[in-house]
Amino acid sequence: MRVRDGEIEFRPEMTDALLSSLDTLGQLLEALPEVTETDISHHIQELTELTTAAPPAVSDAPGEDGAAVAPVEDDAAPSAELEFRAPVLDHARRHGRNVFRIDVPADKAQGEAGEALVASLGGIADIHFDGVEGDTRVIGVSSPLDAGILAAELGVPADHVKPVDLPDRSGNATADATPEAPAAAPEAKDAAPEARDAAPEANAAPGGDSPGGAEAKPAAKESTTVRRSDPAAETVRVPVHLLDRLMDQAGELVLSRNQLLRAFSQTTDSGVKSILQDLDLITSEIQGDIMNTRMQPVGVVFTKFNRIVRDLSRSLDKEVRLDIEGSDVELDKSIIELLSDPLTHLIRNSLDHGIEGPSDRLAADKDRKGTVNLRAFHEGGQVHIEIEDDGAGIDPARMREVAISKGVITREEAFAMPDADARMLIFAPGFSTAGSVSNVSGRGVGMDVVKTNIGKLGGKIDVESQIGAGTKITIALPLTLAIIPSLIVEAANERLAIPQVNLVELVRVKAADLDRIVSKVNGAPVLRLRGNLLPLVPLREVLGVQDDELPDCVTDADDHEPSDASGRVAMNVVVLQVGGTHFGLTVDSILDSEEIVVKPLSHLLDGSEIYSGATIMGDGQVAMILDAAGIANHATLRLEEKKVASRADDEDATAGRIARRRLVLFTNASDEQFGIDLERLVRLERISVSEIEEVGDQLCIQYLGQGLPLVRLHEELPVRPIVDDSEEYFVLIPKVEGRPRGILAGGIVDAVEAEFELDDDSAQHSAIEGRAAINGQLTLLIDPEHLGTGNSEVAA
Amino acid sequence: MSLDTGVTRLAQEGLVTFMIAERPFAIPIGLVREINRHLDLTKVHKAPRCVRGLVNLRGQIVTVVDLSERIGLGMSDVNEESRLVVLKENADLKGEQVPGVAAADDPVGFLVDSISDVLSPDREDLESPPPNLDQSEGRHLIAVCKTEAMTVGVLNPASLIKSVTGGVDAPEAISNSIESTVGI
Repeated sequence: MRVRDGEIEFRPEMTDALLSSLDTLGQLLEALPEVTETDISHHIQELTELTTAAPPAVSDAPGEDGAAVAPVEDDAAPSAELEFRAPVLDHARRHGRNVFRIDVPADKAQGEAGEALVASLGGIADIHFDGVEGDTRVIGVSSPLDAGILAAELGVPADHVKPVDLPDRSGNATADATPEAPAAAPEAKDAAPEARDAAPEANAAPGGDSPGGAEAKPAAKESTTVRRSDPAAETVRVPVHLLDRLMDQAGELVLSRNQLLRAFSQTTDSGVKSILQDLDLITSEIQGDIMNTRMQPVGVVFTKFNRIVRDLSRSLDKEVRLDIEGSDVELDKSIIELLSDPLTHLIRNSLDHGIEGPSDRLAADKDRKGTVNLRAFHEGGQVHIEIEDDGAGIDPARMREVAISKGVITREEAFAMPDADARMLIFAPGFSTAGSVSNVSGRGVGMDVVKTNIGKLGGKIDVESQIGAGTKITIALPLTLAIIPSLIVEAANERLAIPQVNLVELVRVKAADLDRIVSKVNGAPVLRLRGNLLPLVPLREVLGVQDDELPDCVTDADDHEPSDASGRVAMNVVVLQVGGTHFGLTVDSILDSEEIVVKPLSHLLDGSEIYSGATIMGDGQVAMILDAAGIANHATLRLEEKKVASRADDEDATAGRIARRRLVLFTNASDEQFGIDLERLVRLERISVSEIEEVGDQLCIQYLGQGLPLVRLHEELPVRPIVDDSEEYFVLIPKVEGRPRGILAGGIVDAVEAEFELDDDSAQHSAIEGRAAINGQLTLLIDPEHLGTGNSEVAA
Repeated sequence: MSLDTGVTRLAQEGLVTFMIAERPFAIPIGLVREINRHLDLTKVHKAPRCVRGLVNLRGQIVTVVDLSERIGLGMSDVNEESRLVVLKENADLKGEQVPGVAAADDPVGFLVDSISDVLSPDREDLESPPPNLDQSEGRHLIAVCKTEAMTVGVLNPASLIKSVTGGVDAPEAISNSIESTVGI
């Protein structure tokens, strides 16, 4: 109060002391009804020091003085005050509310005017007491508003709204919880209506306002009976398992409704029809409403971060502001519960690693105070949660170095890794870039757990970052765990559901194209999809159903696709994504997309990694839900084999076909253009002549702390040498097996996506994929795999 | 050997008898939720052999275990006579459990060839399983019930379910045997 009145200058320590006292009080409340002996003296001391350090109060309410031990026995506002017994006051204070006594003018005390007043009060204040004192109607309220605003809202003269000063808790806390205190509180309750007469007893109650005590229980009970307009009275606590059962039953109801509708679909009886229509509608509404009972605003989790950020920024000596948006976005209760820990971790991480200290920030020309934005919003049927800081950002090069030194990835993998993937390394197990281990972060555990947990929720996590500008972590979550959109497919006469989260696209390969697009390498089928090789996993094989020769020759009952000479029909491929890997699941047919209710599998089926659950379909049949990650794991060994094999296959198959590829075009001599697949490049570096070192007859540059040998195209290919009058060169670093090497280029022309016909007849060298006319210029396509290996030979 | 009093009490409440592989077995009726003909099975590929599939029992997914295959008597055929004995879940038992003898943690049903009677045995009709029973079925028996016509093995659902994936839970088995020898 005195802080608010400007009597005491606000200092951050006050908040600290108040918050830590609040924690202790919270613990004490939790421990109820057990009487616990907790030492609160240090809190009292802190609070007392804070309040007494300022000049004494000028206020007209003596009871407010922090040092005062005795409860209010003053004549200033005794009658109103005695209605606000200790628990009410305490409650109001905890919620940062002011307490007022309103002397209602006679014209508003009764009848409609009186009701209107109470109604308008209901929206802005909690009514604790409503009674008659002498001839005046007196209402006791607590409200976050000021007296003036309250008076204006109610349309009563300002002097009729009087603040009731709160006895300071620290003062009261020092008072011993006297044996008669427990008795006094219930007494005060009885005495409430006869305000004036009851004064002495009621005043005893604040005297017993010690958080330590036995009287807290009756007191708490009392406060709930007094608060009349509390919105909590409109809500009911329901056990979650009951909601779960309700949801199951609602699902069943929908099913029965569907069956009923089907059974009566031919009826002409208009009476029955309208009943069915009503039933249809009501059932859908019930289902929707029951779903909504499980929804909670994310604000439930978000609000606690204010405190976390505050505490953490002080302990890290950083200045951080947390901005929260979208607290009202709703998510399934079970998701909210599981979201708390991962979010806490991410926010801690932002503060610890992301936001710099104030001096660093000033040096980087940023605001002293860092900002963390916590945002929730709907997008594409999902809830997105973003944690964005304006800190130092994630340096992919540093990520690579640390990952190599920690043995998370090998040097070769690091070279082949695009920057975006390198940033994702923060989620790798055993990874930490923190210079030292603190109790906040840097222990190398946590972020991988965060990712796993988000994954368990059916969510995805992504990192965007700009060095020096900040980092944004985006989590995309399904609205509810219980119902997920999925694709229903069929294989081996079973229907199976695939969660849409994992779905990338559906590809249908015509029977006539099978030979051209699907090839079999080492016994494993691969699909050529827009110039990439996609490993195919036949679902029948995954299910352990014996199958004919592959690529799959499926007979699709509903499908009258003309089959080719050998009797084959089209192939359905469901392209799935697991982490960064794509693979195609070949299925017998693709049926439908449907919202399904996920039911967990019995522990009897724990061993089957290919399923993530089961569901009940519209017709009452059970269908298994496939786990994309499990299937990928299941097929991993085979995938590895395919990777090696497909590369070999790539060479002879690329011949003479029209391709659409993304190329980087570069030149060495002005009229000779070269192209290299963008996807096969790791990095493009601009270097100056001085960076090139000569070791023997080998050119090298320093890259990621290692010497990177450079390949000059004219040394290996029948092309013209690079013009050497330039100060600046480019190095293309391709993804290759074994030791990385760079291709020296004179100048970069363009990066294009081009469709062209590859003329492979001209490819006389293994490092030349072929020639093609791109953008009107004859271009040599380079195959980096065969460059600089030392054994490249001119083909016959 | 005297039988565990808990098991005796459970058995005396009634025993649901059924045939698997032409041999009679029983389960205490207190552990059975219902017996039905819901055998519209959804096959689960890659599941243990004895898990025949899943059925939808009024919105609940019940895992169907082929009892015959489970105790090593070979796969049952599903026909007109086949029944599904759905077990109660442990949560439904509300603490009336006999130590070591439990129902399932999630909805499980046993596929049996046919259902016979419900027996109400006297105390003297019940005995501990003879030690010379062959391994696979012997370890799942908690008692043997003698009737005029035949001898029925009383199965312990908990042990049947538990060991599907991993074999008998060793400490549990030991404590069971201690309990039964001490006769709690």
